[in-house]
Amino acid sequence: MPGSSDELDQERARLQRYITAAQTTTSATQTDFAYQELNSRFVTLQQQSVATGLSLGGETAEQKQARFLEEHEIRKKAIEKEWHEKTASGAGDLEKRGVAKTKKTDKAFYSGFSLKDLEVLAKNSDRGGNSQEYNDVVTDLELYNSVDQNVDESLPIQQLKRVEESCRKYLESRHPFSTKGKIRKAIIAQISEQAQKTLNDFRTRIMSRADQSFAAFQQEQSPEKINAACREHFQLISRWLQGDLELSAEESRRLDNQMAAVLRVMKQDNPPVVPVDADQADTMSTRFFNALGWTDRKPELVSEAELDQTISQSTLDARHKRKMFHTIEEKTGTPGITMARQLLGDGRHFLSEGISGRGTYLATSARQDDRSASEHCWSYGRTANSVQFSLCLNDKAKVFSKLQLMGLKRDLEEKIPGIMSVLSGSEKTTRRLNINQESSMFIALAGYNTIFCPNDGGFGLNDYYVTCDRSVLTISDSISVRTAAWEKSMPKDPLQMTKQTISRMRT
Amino acid sequence: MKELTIGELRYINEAVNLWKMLVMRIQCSMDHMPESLTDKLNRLEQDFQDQFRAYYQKCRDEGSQKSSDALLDDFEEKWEKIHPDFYDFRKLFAECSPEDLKAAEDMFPDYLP
Repeated sequence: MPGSSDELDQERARLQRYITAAQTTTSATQTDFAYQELNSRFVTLQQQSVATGLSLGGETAEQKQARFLEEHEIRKKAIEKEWHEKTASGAGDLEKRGVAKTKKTDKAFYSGFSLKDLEVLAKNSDRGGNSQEYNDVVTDLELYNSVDQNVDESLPIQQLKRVEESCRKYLESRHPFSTKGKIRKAIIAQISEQAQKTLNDFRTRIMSRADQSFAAFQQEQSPEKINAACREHFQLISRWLQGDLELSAEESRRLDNQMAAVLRVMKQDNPPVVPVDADQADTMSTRFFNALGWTDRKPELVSEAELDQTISQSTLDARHKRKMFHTIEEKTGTPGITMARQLLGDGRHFLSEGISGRGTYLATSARQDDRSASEHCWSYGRTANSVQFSLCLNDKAKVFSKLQLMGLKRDLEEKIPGIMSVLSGSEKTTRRLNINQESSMFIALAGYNTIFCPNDGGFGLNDYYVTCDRSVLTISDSISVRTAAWEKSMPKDPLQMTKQTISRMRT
Repeated sequence: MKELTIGELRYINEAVNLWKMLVMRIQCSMDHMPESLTDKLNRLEQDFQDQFRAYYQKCRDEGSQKSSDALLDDFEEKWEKIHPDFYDFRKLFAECSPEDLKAAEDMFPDYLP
């Protein structure tokens, strides 16, 4: 209800739009609807006018209402007469043309309204039922609006892409016959347009940052500038590869060449341009994920009961909702408990070597026996003070199947040939075997962070996983530590372990 | 003697892992592994680890700033000349029965040169 004169002006402007729309449309339905709104608003204003002494441009609200209703009745009868004449000719295509005209007129009719007005109209319209597609748009829009856009653009871009997709589904799937449906269509069209504009804004912002970071890198090849350029280009290229952002052929080629140049410098030894931490392995993967900031992320530490809860409530695919194990074997110079603390966040992530790429390897069985030592935790943990964690993947995990790795690699070689030429072969294929340790970097570019090796990559053994982002891990604070007594009795006696509950290992 | 970092020691410890894992899986695929072969594999594994560690330490003492991967690559070039069997599973498992060797080959076609 308008109070101040500014609000009254806004209300007048709103009414004028309704009036203009009602006067220009040839659709009986729209005319009817517009006048319903006018009626209710006139009553409100009439009361306001009485209270404040304001009037509506020469006529009182009541007089205006009466005049428009009279005009409305005349117009309505004229439209109905015209419609009957057209349909009486019996030509089906006339009806279609009539519908097409209505559609065209609908768009013109609603284009004069702001999004806020349209939402009010939709809410007040009682002509039309619920629409799941419309609700999907509303839900996706709410999710997008709830994301903190100041932290990182990855999530809002992803959510916005979902909004755009659900708008597209709505606009393609229904022909809205009801008044509410038509209004909603106008709403969705505006949301879709705004979403596209915002995505373009994101793209422009990220492109500009990537170009600036590359220029800075060219001026000075310090570790900070190298890492910054790597990070900015990775974000853009990864979003493009996942289909969230559009890039022209020239733009993608330029970015590919720029990032390849950065990675080439990152690979250099003697002296190493980008040093790694003392508790990390100095490999290309480590330098790469350090630059992205992934190795700074920490896993979640919970109680054993909370771990079970996390597994049961996980939104991951059913196959990945399971308890897993990671075992750290103590050897000379590498204390088990120190390495265990590092996994939990006391230091950057250590990316282990393995046949499925560099990262932390997770077994789906804790047990070990001599015969099938490679089936369970790869026979790690044979020494005293070795440590075994129970854990699971949380909802941050984006899982990629190892069986599709060759296909992914081919796809990347086609889309980002420059980057792939630098990364392929950047990790030593140990002992000249055909093992690709760079796969962690490949899947990261494609938007994933965990590789799933089903049945041990097809070898008929247990499933296992490898992750290059430990924040996808939820770890129980109840760990198993191998005792010295066991070590003395190995390998004949059964496995002996003691459970220690460690709370707040990070502190 | 320059002190190796924990990261470097872990790298050295892990360097033989791939080899160890593949050999164990090949063992699992066979009905019978000759004892002489098992002994040979264990010896090779231990030698590799000991000598790689010594090589790594020597390079760091001499001031090399190469990455761990680069040092492993250099070491393996020398090692391959001394122990060619280490890299060729067909030669390594030549003592096994033809059926067992076939089973291993079928299981790991990508890993055999």
